[in-house]
Amino acid sequence: MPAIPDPVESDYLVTFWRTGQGLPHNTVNALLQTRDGYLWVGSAAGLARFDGLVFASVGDEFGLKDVVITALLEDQNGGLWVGTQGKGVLRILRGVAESFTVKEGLAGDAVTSLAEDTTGHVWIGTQNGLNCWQKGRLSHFETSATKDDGIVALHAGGAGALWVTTRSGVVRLENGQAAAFKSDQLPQGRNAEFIGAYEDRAGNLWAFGATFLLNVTQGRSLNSFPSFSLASSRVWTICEQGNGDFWIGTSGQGLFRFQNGRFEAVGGRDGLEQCDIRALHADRWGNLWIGTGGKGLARLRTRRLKVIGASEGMNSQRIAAIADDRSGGLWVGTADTGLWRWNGVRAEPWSGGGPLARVTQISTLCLDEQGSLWVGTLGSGIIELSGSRQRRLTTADGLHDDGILCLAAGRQRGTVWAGTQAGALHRIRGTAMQSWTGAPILNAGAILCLLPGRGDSLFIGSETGVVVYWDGTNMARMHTPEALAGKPITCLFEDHKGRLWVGSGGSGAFCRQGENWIQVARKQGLGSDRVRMITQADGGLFWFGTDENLYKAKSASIEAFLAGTRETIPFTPALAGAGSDGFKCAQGWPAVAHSQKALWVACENELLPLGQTENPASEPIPPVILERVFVNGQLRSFPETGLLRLGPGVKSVDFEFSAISFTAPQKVRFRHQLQNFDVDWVQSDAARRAHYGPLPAGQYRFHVIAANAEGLWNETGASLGLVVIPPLWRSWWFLCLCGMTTTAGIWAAARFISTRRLEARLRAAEQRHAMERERARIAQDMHDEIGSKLTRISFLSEIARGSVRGGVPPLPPIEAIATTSRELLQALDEIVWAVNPRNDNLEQLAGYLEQHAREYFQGTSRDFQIHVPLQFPDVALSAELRHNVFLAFEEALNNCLKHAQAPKVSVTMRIENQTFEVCVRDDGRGFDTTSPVAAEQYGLANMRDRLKNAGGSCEISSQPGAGTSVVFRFPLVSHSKAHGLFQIK
Amino acid sequence: MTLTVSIVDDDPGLRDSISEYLRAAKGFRCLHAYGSGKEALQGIPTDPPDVVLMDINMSGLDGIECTRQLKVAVPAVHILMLTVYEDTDKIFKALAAGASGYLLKRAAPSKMLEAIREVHGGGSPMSGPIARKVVQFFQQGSPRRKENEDLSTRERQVLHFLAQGYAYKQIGDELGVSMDTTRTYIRRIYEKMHVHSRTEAVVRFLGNSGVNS
Repeated sequence: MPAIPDPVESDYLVTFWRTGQGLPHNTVNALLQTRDGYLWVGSAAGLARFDGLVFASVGDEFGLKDVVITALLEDQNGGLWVGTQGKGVLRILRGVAESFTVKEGLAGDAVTSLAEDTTGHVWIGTQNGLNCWQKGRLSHFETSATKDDGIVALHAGGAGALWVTTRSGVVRLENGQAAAFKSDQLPQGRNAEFIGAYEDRAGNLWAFGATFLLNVTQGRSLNSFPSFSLASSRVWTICEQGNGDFWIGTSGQGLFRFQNGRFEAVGGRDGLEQCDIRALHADRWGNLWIGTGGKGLARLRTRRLKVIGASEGMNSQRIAAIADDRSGGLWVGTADTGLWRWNGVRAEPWSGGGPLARVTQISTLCLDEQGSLWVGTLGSGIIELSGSRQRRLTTADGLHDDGILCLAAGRQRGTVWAGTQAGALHRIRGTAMQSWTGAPILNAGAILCLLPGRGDSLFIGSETGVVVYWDGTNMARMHTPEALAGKPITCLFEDHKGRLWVGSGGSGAFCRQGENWIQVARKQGLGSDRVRMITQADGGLFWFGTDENLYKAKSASIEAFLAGTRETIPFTPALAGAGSDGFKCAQGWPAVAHSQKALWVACENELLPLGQTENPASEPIPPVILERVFVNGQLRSFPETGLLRLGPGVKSVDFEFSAISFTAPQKVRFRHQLQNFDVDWVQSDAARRAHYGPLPAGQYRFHVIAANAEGLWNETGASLGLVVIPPLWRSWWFLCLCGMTTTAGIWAAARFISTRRLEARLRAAEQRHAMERERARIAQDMHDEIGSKLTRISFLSEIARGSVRGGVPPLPPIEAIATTSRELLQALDEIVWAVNPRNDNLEQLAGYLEQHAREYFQGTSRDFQIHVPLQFPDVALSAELRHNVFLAFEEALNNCLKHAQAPKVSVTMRIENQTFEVCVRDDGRGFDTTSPVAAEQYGLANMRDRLKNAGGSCEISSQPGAGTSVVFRFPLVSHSKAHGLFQIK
Repeated sequence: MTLTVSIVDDDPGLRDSISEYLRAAKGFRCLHAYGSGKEALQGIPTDPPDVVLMDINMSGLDGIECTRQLKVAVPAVHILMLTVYEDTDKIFKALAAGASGYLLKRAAPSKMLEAIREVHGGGSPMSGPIARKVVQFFQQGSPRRKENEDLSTRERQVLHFLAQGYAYKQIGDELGVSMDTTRTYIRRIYEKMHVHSRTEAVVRFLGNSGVNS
């Protein structure tokens, strides 16, 4: 087998944040990750704190709003130094800021650079000179070497030296002594324009400026930037990462990596080309942060995982299946561009012609014992490829449907099984095909996976949670755990010990051991409940593909778990920063193949040999920070003791927290607990906030923890103690006594009531269900038998009408048959609607009234309007009530059409104060409501009776010439007790 | 222009009378009449008509599932559901599965011709009760839903008006747009709904539409 491609780098991932994502300004001059994990961003319009998700503006109250930030530093005591252009420097410690400007003795208010040396002195470089801060005291530092010039840059070297760069040169400061650094290589005079000096980890001193980059220690001038001369690019900043990567930021020419004496331009394709780089900062998780002039903030990550994708010629976005090709490569079936072959170096699309050349949507691949490749397609059936010969099987050859979802080679020689989208199963043996298209599989939805067992046996997994077993003669549904009901069975797998594994979308995986099913899901340590692939490598390692990540577990831990000696399984995510670092497993459906030498996984558009993921650069465990606490809505500062003391009368406490993750911040999950109040951990919602109502007197501790995208928890988290002091009169024994008595009383009463009520309810429910089934059956029968025949009559009479046309008017009886059959259908519709228990709720009633009214006025000259509430409460209504309301409503509509001669009719439905109201209003001629003749004509008594039967009321107001309005009302709650006609579900 | 129509209905009498009626009607041609969802899934992809008339309530593979699978195999085909009763739940499911509209069988046969022309012209009518279902559908929300799969402000306005019983014309007046524009919004709402309601089986192969079980 050809060597797996060199897994080292060559690929970078660059992500940008700009003002649209919350960055205060697109020019970023200074960057710093503090020890708590936050990334601080000094922009041309203020300071922001970044946790991966939100840029929180900081320091507005200290006058930093819209100020140009030039430098950032965290000192040994945790003080954050912020250098500005024109407002001096600020030191922020525990929410308090101390400002240093010219007034306080600073050499100038335009700060250029900040540094702390090994002895804890903080150095402040300004355009007017150098200052030193030590233990709260600021002093001006002046030597002959730095006197004339403003400070351009400061850099603290590892050996205790401070490198001070001025426009005209580099000065070394040590133990209070300054000495101009002399070297033959350094350019002389002001034109040289020095920008900075940098001492690397190996101890080399670098000096750089407008036209040069020098390794002063090695005496080498480096100007071999590719494709252009160094002289044309100003080196602006240098930064080393923990892994030794050496980065150079230039003004206008972007970013370079320096390695083995060579420069490599980086990130050009990703938007860093010709960038003006103002700041570089390496965080402790391997990210390089890049501040640019005008193009925002960027993060660069090195791709550690070499996957096989577009650069090797794979031009597909949807790999659906892979199979070993027995010659050191792989077959790759895609759902968008058909079949490919990967030969170990490059991928080529199928070029052998035949039916395979026309297939684009491949769903599954399988290799049989003779080495034939079976290709399952969506819509084009199955194609068998043996050597160069192709054979296509479609519905014409007996396939139930052409949507093939899975294929598997049976253990009996020459047998291939196929499962289809419509839920049919086929066994193909040579030219013979046997099909199963009835129960128990057909009704279970699409067949998603197949697993051949011993002999001729087969396990079948369906879309609706059903696993069917074929023992060679009979087919039967397996008894599976309840948790699988309705969940798609996504994969079936037999492990090395012969145990069956079932993967599901939603309930994790289950392993059958003897008669028991043992669940392996989120609760047991797996990162997700949506399992999409299970396999075991030759060495015994188990792999679980999920929508979150690909997880692996040692077989020893799996065995211990199945034996009951462990409660959870330590799964390790195989892919760093899933979805962001190379292989994309989050959205697709991993396909797996064992070739002679490796275990392969493919997903979406990439292929990955699993051997490479043994040492993944794992996603860091996120630091958790409690950001703010509010008591009764008021912001409180954090006490230094870590214990917040509160007086009595605490009405609410709110905690705001965050966790820092730069790669997958949306996937960070939180749990919090107020100890002594919450019994258990509470899943926090995405708002990153916890709210508590009134807190009784007592001692509490708020604790919040977080897990990264891979499910690794920071168990330490962050916490804060709370003490709520009791008012004096509330002595503990008094409260205890009251509490105990009340609780006991409530408990006894609740138990008595609920037992009795439950029994009665159960009996009623049983009867109701029997009745509902019967009603549903009647509705169905009427629909099927009478409805379809009537519809036929309607069509036939229409045809008869048409055939006798040609100048002669249709025979009146035929006309009448057409009309009558349609009227009958309408009447039948109303009856079936009333009978069918599916309609026993308010929403169905309102919908039916609406449709009926609309149809009723269609084709009339009336201007009809209707208003319906957007949403309906889930209220059950009896058939009787619905029927009564409907008939009354129909009567009201009839009146509008027949008697009112109204040009305008409107219907308004409303729900108010637990009452449903339907108002039918017209602007017709109206009538005198006191006249008995009119009342009779309008069927008022009828309507009133119907509503009364429904437990409601009917109100009619009208005056001759002023239109009529009829309002039906019935209650939605109180009514249920009195009549038992409906219940709130 | 002659529109080609195929019928899927397991009631032989009705199937025959509809196809006979279509044959007699000007401007329509009946291509095939299938007696089951299974037959339709085999036949329609090889000889697709402009519009399929599909009975919603067939035994075996029902009209909704058949619609879902047909839309995968032949995405361009328009499917008009035939139903005896105004069953909101079923109609909604059929529309979510990809049907372009529905027709009550009791409607006058001439209405059927109108409806066929309308769906073929890209119209997808939406009634108030259906609109309320669609509102609920989009409110359920899926964490994996992509931004562009959610309704736009305008689409949401149109949907809310429909759900409150407004007629197309009234909605146009309220929003200051033409009836045609309103129809376009409604069609887009349907399209977004289809994206969401593909089953996991289809998602597996047809891409990352973000729907999970």
